[in-house]
Amino acid sequence: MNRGILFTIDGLIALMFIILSIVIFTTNTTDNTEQYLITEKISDLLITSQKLEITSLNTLEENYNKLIPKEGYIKINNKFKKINTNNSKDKKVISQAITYINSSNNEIYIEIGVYY
Amino acid sequence: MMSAIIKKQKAQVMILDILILLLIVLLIINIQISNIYDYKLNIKNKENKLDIIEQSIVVNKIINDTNYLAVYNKHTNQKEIQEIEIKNIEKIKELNNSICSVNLENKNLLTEHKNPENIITRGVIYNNKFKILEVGFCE
Repeated sequence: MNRGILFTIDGLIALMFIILSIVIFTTNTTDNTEQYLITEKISDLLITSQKLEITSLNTLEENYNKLIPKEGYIKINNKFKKINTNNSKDKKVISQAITYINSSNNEIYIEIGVYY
Repeated sequence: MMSAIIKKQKAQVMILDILILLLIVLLIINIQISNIYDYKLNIKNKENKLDIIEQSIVVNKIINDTNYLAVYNKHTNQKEIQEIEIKNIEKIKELNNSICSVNLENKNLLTEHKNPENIITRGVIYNNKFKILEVGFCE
Protein backbone atom coordinates (compact mmCIF):
# COMPACT_ATOMS: atom_id res chain seq x y z
CA MET A 1 0.00 0.00 0.00
CA ASN A 2 2.82 2.38 1.01
CA ARG A 3 4.64 1.55 -2.21
CA GLY A 4 1.47 2.43 -4.11
CA ILE A 5 1.44 5.87 -2.47
CA LEU A 6 5.11 6.26 -3.37
CA PHE A 7 4.37 5.46 -7.00
CA THR A 8 1.55 8.01 -6.99
CA ILE A 9 3.89 10.64 -5.54
CA ASP A 10 6.43 9.69 -8.22
CA GLY A 11 3.74 10.21 -10.85
CA LEU A 12 2.82 13.61 -9.45
CA ILE A 13 6.47 14.69 -9.38
CA ALA A 14 6.81 13.52 -12.98
CA LEU A 15 3.75 15.55 -13.98
CA MET A 16 5.23 18.61 -12.28
CA PHE A 17 8.43 17.97 -14.23
CA ILE A 18 6.43 17.92 -17.48
CA ILE A 19 4.70 21.21 -16.65
CA LEU A 20 8.06 22.78 -15.76
CA SER A 21 9.64 21.60 -19.00
CA ILE A 22 6.69 22.94 -21.02
CA VAL A 23 7.20 26.34 -19.36
CA ILE A 24 10.94 26.24 -20.11
CA PHE A 25 10.67 24.97 -23.68
CA THR A 26 7.81 27.22 -24.71
CA THR A 27 9.57 30.15 -26.30
CA ASN A 28 8.00 33.49 -26.97
CA THR A 29 6.64 33.22 -30.50
CA THR A 30 5.77 36.87 -31.13
CA ASP A 31 6.43 37.41 -34.80
CA ASN A 32 7.91 40.84 -35.45
CA THR A 33 9.46 40.01 -38.83
CA GLU A 34 6.23 40.55 -40.74
CA GLN A 35 5.62 43.86 -38.96
CA TYR A 36 9.17 44.97 -39.74
CA LEU A 37 8.83 44.16 -43.46
CA ILE A 38 5.43 45.90 -43.67
CA THR A 39 6.83 49.00 -41.91
CA GLU A 40 9.68 49.17 -44.42
CA LYS A 41 7.27 48.98 -47.36
CA ILE A 42 5.00 51.68 -45.91
CA SER A 43 8.08 53.91 -45.48
CA ASP A 44 9.01 53.25 -49.12
CA LEU A 45 5.54 54.31 -50.25
CA LEU A 46 5.57 57.45 -48.11
CA ILE A 47 9.06 58.57 -49.18
CA THR A 48 8.45 57.90 -52.87
CA SER A 49 5.05 59.63 -52.68
CA GLN A 50 6.69 62.69 -51.19
CA LYS A 51 9.50 62.75 -53.75
CA LEU A 52 7.17 62.19 -56.70
CA GLU A 53 4.61 64.58 -55.14
CA ILE A 54 1.76 62.12 -55.49
CA THR A 55 -1.57 63.71 -54.61
CA SER A 56 -3.86 61.31 -56.43
CA LEU A 57 -5.42 58.47 -54.44
CA ASN A 58 -5.53 56.28 -57.54
CA THR A 59 -1.80 56.60 -58.19
CA LEU A 60 -1.01 55.86 -54.56
CA GLU A 61 -3.41 52.91 -54.61
CA GLU A 62 -1.72 51.56 -57.72
CA ASN A 63 1.70 51.79 -56.03
CA TYR A 64 0.28 50.25 -52.83
CA ASN A 65 -1.10 47.27 -54.76
CA LYS A 66 2.20 46.74 -56.53
CA LEU A 67 4.18 46.73 -53.28
CA ILE A 68 1.84 45.44 -50.57
CA PRO A 69 -0.62 42.72 -51.52
CA LYS A 70 -2.58 43.10 -48.29
CA GLU A 71 -5.65 44.86 -46.98
CA GLY A 72 -5.18 48.43 -45.91
CA TYR A 73 -6.10 52.06 -46.40
CA ILE A 74 -4.61 55.23 -47.79
CA LYS A 75 -5.31 58.83 -46.93
CA ILE A 76 -4.18 61.97 -48.74
CA ASN A 77 -5.29 65.12 -46.93
CA ASN A 78 -9.06 64.62 -46.51
CA LYS A 79 -9.41 61.90 -49.11
CA PHE A 80 -9.59 58.36 -47.77
CA LYS A 81 -9.70 55.00 -49.53
CA LYS A 82 -9.81 51.44 -48.30
CA ILE A 83 -7.83 48.89 -50.30
CA ASN A 84 -8.75 45.20 -50.67
CA THR A 85 -10.63 45.35 -47.36
CA ASN A 86 -13.15 42.64 -46.57
CA ASN A 87 -13.34 42.47 -42.82
CA SER A 88 -10.61 44.37 -41.04
CA LYS A 89 -12.35 44.60 -37.66
CA ASP A 90 -10.38 41.87 -35.91
CA LYS A 91 -7.09 42.64 -37.58
CA LYS A 92 -4.15 44.63 -36.29
CA VAL A 93 -3.01 47.64 -38.23
CA ILE A 94 0.39 49.19 -38.88
CA SER A 95 0.17 52.78 -40.00
CA GLN A 96 2.54 55.61 -40.73
CA ALA A 97 1.96 59.19 -41.85
CA ILE A 98 3.97 61.98 -43.36
CA THR A 99 3.32 65.71 -43.78
CA TYR A 100 5.32 67.78 -46.23
CA ILE A 101 5.10 70.97 -48.25
CA ASN A 102 5.13 70.38 -52.00
CA SER A 103 6.59 72.57 -54.75
CA SER A 104 3.28 74.49 -55.00
CA ASN A 105 3.61 75.41 -51.31
CA ASN A 106 0.68 73.22 -50.26
CA GLU A 107 0.77 71.08 -47.17
CA ILE A 108 0.26 67.42 -48.03
CA TYR A 109 -0.66 64.79 -45.44
CA ILE A 110 -0.32 61.15 -46.43
CA GLU A 111 -1.25 58.23 -44.21
CA ILE A 112 -0.92 54.56 -45.09
CA GLY A 113 -2.24 51.69 -43.00
CA VAL A 114 -1.83 47.96 -43.54
CA TYR A 115 -3.90 45.27 -41.84
CA TYR A 116 -2.17 42.02 -40.95
CA MET B 1 -3.87 -19.65 3.91
CA MET B 2 -5.00 -16.08 4.71
CA SER B 3 -1.44 -14.74 4.59
CA ALA B 4 -0.95 -16.34 1.15
CA ILE B 5 -4.07 -14.55 -0.17
CA ILE B 6 -2.88 -11.22 1.29
CA LYS B 7 0.56 -11.74 -0.27
CA LYS B 8 -1.10 -12.49 -3.64
CA GLN B 9 -3.23 -9.34 -3.38
CA LYS B 10 -0.17 -7.24 -2.48
CA ALA B 11 1.66 -8.64 -5.47
CA GLN B 12 -1.29 -7.77 -7.72
CA VAL B 13 -1.38 -4.20 -6.36
CA MET B 14 2.36 -3.88 -6.94
CA ILE B 15 2.09 -5.14 -10.51
CA LEU B 16 -0.75 -2.69 -11.13
CA ASP B 17 1.35 0.11 -9.65
CA ILE B 18 4.31 -0.80 -11.86
CA LEU B 19 2.07 -0.88 -14.93
CA ILE B 20 0.64 2.56 -14.10
CA LEU B 21 4.18 3.85 -13.50
CA LEU B 22 5.30 2.50 -16.88
CA LEU B 23 2.30 4.15 -18.51
CA ILE B 24 3.16 7.47 -16.88
CA VAL B 25 6.82 7.15 -17.88
CA LEU B 26 5.83 6.45 -21.50
CA LEU B 27 3.47 9.42 -21.43
CA ILE B 28 6.22 11.65 -20.05
CA ILE B 29 8.68 10.49 -22.71
CA ASN B 30 6.11 11.13 -25.43
CA ILE B 31 5.28 14.62 -24.15
CA GLN B 32 8.95 15.50 -23.68
CA ILE B 33 9.87 14.35 -27.20
CA SER B 34 7.10 16.43 -28.73
CA ASN B 35 8.13 19.39 -26.54
CA ILE B 36 11.76 19.20 -27.60
CA TYR B 37 10.71 18.79 -31.26
CA ASP B 38 8.49 21.90 -31.05
CA TYR B 39 11.30 23.80 -29.34
CA LYS B 40 13.78 22.88 -32.09
CA LEU B 41 11.22 23.84 -34.75
CA ASN B 42 10.72 27.18 -33.01
CA ILE B 43 14.45 27.87 -32.96
CA LYS B 44 14.71 26.99 -36.67
CA ASN B 45 11.81 29.34 -37.48
CA LYS B 46 13.47 32.11 -35.52
CA GLU B 47 16.73 31.54 -37.39
CA ASN B 48 14.83 31.79 -40.70
CA LYS B 49 13.24 35.04 -39.57
CA LEU B 50 16.64 36.42 -38.59
CA ASP B 51 17.86 35.50 -42.08
CA ILE B 52 14.97 37.45 -43.60
CA ILE B 53 15.82 40.51 -41.49
CA GLU B 54 19.48 40.21 -42.49
CA GLN B 55 18.43 40.01 -46.16
CA SER B 56 16.25 43.07 -45.70
CA ILE B 57 19.23 45.00 -44.28
CA VAL B 58 21.32 43.96 -47.30
CA VAL B 59 18.60 45.27 -49.65
CA ASN B 60 18.50 48.52 -47.64
CA LYS B 61 22.22 48.89 -48.27
CA ILE B 62 21.77 48.24 -51.99
CA ILE B 63 19.11 50.96 -52.19
CA ASN B 64 20.74 53.53 -49.94
CA ASP B 65 24.45 53.14 -50.61
CA THR B 66 25.86 55.07 -53.59
CA ASN B 67 28.44 52.30 -54.03
CA TYR B 68 25.53 50.14 -55.19
CA LEU B 69 22.30 51.46 -56.74
CA ALA B 70 21.64 54.72 -54.87
CA VAL B 71 21.77 57.92 -56.92
CA TYR B 72 24.34 60.53 -55.98
CA ASN B 73 23.39 64.11 -56.79
CA LYS B 74 26.54 65.97 -57.80
CA HIS B 75 24.86 69.39 -57.56
CA THR B 76 23.72 69.01 -53.97
CA ASN B 77 26.51 66.60 -53.01
CA GLN B 78 23.91 64.40 -51.45
CA LYS B 79 22.47 60.96 -51.98
CA GLU B 80 18.94 60.94 -53.38
CA ILE B 81 16.68 59.15 -50.91
CA GLN B 82 15.00 56.01 -52.28
CA GLU B 83 16.14 56.84 -55.81
CA ILE B 84 18.17 54.30 -57.76
CA GLU B 85 20.00 53.97 -61.04
CA ILE B 86 21.36 50.89 -62.76
CA LYS B 87 25.03 50.68 -61.88
CA ASN B 88 27.56 48.53 -60.02
CA ILE B 89 25.44 45.40 -60.51
CA GLU B 90 28.52 43.18 -60.26
CA LYS B 91 29.27 44.72 -56.84
CA ILE B 92 25.89 43.58 -55.47
CA LYS B 93 26.97 39.97 -55.76
CA GLU B 94 30.10 40.79 -53.76
CA LEU B 95 27.97 42.32 -51.03
CA ASN B 96 26.16 39.07 -50.38
CA ASN B 97 26.86 35.74 -52.04
CA SER B 98 23.33 34.46 -51.62
CA ILE B 99 21.85 37.16 -53.88
CA CYS B 100 20.84 35.36 -57.06
CA SER B 101 18.44 37.75 -58.77
CA VAL B 102 17.77 41.47 -58.93
CA ASN B 103 14.72 42.65 -60.86
CA LEU B 104 13.50 46.18 -61.39
CA GLU B 105 9.87 45.50 -62.29
CA ASN B 106 10.19 43.67 -65.63
CA LYS B 107 13.87 44.36 -66.10
CA ASN B 108 16.33 41.65 -65.02
CA LEU B 109 19.45 43.27 -63.61
CA LEU B 110 20.99 40.07 -62.27
CA THR B 111 19.89 36.48 -62.86
CA GLU B 112 21.58 33.25 -61.88
CA HIS B 113 18.94 30.83 -63.13
CA LYS B 114 18.21 29.55 -59.65
CA ASN B 115 14.93 29.58 -57.83
CA PRO B 116 15.18 32.20 -55.08
CA GLU B 117 14.36 30.92 -51.62
CA ASN B 118 13.17 34.34 -50.52
CA ILE B 119 12.46 37.58 -52.36
CA ILE B 120 12.65 40.97 -50.70
CA THR B 121 10.42 43.53 -52.41
CA ARG B 122 10.93 47.28 -52.04
CA GLY B 123 9.51 50.42 -53.59
CA VAL B 124 12.02 52.77 -55.26
CA ILE B 125 12.19 55.66 -57.69
CA TYR B 126 13.78 54.95 -61.05
CA ASN B 127 13.72 57.48 -63.89
CA ASN B 128 11.30 59.61 -61.85
CA LYS B 129 8.77 56.78 -61.64
CA PHE B 130 7.72 54.45 -58.85
CA LYS B 131 9.14 50.99 -59.47
CA ILE B 132 9.32 47.70 -57.61
CA LEU B 133 12.79 46.36 -56.84
CA GLU B 134 12.94 42.64 -56.13
CA VAL B 135 16.06 41.03 -54.72
CA GLY B 136 16.07 37.23 -54.64
CA PHE B 137 18.16 35.22 -52.19
CA CYS B 138 19.21 31.62 -52.83
CA GLU B 139 20.92 29.16 -50.49
